Amino acid sequence: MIAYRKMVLFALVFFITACPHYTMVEPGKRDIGNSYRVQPQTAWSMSTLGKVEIWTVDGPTLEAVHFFKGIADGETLLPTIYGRHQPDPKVKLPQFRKDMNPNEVMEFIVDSMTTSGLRSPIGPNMKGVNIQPSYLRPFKFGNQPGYRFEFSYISDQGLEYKGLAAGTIKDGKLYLICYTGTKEYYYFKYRQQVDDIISSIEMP
Amino acid sequence: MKPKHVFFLGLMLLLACLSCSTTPPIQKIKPGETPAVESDEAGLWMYMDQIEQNLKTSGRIETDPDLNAYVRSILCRLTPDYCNDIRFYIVRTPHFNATMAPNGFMQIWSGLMLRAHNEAQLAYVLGHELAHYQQRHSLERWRAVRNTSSVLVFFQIAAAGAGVGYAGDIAYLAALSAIFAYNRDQEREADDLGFELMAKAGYDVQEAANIWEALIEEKEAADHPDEFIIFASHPTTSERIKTLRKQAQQLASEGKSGQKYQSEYLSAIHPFRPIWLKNELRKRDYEASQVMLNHLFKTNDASGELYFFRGELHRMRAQEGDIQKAIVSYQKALGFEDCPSEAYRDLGLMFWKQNQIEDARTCLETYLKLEPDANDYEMIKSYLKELE
Repeated sequence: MIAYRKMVLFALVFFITACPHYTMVEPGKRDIGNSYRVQPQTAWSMSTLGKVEIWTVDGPTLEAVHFFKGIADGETLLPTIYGRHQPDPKVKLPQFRKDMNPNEVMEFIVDSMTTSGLRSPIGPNMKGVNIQPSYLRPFKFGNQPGYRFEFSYISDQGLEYKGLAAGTIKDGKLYLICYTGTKEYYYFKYRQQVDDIISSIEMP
Repeated sequence: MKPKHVFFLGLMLLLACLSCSTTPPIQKIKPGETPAVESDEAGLWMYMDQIEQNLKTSGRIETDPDLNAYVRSILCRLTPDYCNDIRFYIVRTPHFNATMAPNGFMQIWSGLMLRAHNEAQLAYVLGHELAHYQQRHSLERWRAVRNTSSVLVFFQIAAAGAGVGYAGDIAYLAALSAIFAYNRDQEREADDLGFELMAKAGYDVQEAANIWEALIEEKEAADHPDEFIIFASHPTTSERIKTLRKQAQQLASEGKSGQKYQSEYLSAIHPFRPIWLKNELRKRDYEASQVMLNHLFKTNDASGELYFFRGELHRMRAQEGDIQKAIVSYQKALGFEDCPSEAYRDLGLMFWKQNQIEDARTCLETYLKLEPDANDYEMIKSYLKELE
């Protein structure tokens, strides 16, 4: 009986820890780690994946904002192992280099999405196929000189997505906000809110 | 009936067949033939139909009508009688492979098409796969594994394929390939029949051994040789290459010759080669990609594009000395008419890293002149301001 109870307890702990844990992000100022601060105008649900915060309203496979809190030299965009959806260890993920120019940062993001996908906290990777970046341009990330671009892609499952990314390199680390959503409906549903978030960045 | 129901019906049928079906001797499939509904083969086909259905909706399929019509023409030239029985999908995956399912759907990976130098080389691989289909090798293999523990692996893989769109995922496809890994006799038979189909269709049979040899050289340079999953299901030995060479010599001594159809092939894949090369570099197995590029240079085609991608390889690898090597490659690329205008941009950015400011400015300005609608126009303009 004790063994049975232990098994039930183990199973409960397993299921609880295996499920993504969401917390509410209320409108107002919010620190993204110790890196920068944003001010969402509406409420979002937040989960984390390693050093990445993922915000969503309708679910991360429909739309999601990824907040990267500082990718250091030699690091990959996302953790290489997540839950049971482990990527093939033989797959070499792109690594960030602190001397990357904005074109190379864009390539780093696009190649990462092609190789490993912007991982969802609730399911398998959503690898991008035929990612088409567009309109890479200078952009103020808070008070820092940075860059921004848009992109579109098809998921492995054949669904069309759109996205945007804004980032900067400060003290050798890449700070980045990346928004993706289905081309039909969801991307545009929250696009203005995401633009407002990006416009509100404060960086110490 | 929903696809999910079809899949589980197939599963039930297969399980039932494990215990009760009669297994008639395997004969070559006839053109237009479909298996009897009560047979174990029908269950296998249902499984494969579901996997094919998932593949169809994958974002990885090259749907260009011209490219597909061209590949269709090769298949029909190889086997006119079976032309209508074969459905094929060109999958955008930067690895060398082709697979043939028992129900007649074939996957041709873009990594294979990138590496083939001419139509004859592709025709050899397709002929080999068609031979597996015609001889019903998958069914033979299925009957061999179904009473062993491997059958569980088969169900897991098939269920993954039916339930989630994993098409194009290297791990999934590698596992699927391994399930249908043919035995030595089946491989020998497919080699012989594929070679026969190729010769009968008028292709240069010397190319059969050439494509294997180039691939083996690439594999030996690779960081992860086991990623060459074609070798999991098609163990290539020097003995096989020797046999292919011997058979080719035999035909030559009889005065029979064939065509490579190189210009037709290169022209057909030309619009897709840049993205296939880009995907190749994304594997970040730079030594193997270097070997592959060296082989492509032998076609004397699109040298500007190839030098550009050699430059890209060095730029992306970014090890000591790579900036200089990238600069040399981009400069060589600029000497050819087919050089992509991005070579000016990337050469300019490499010059900038080397602090060669004037050279960087000249290159970036040229890039903007050539590409007024470039997706990074505003960014490059801001670089030029910094360089003032």
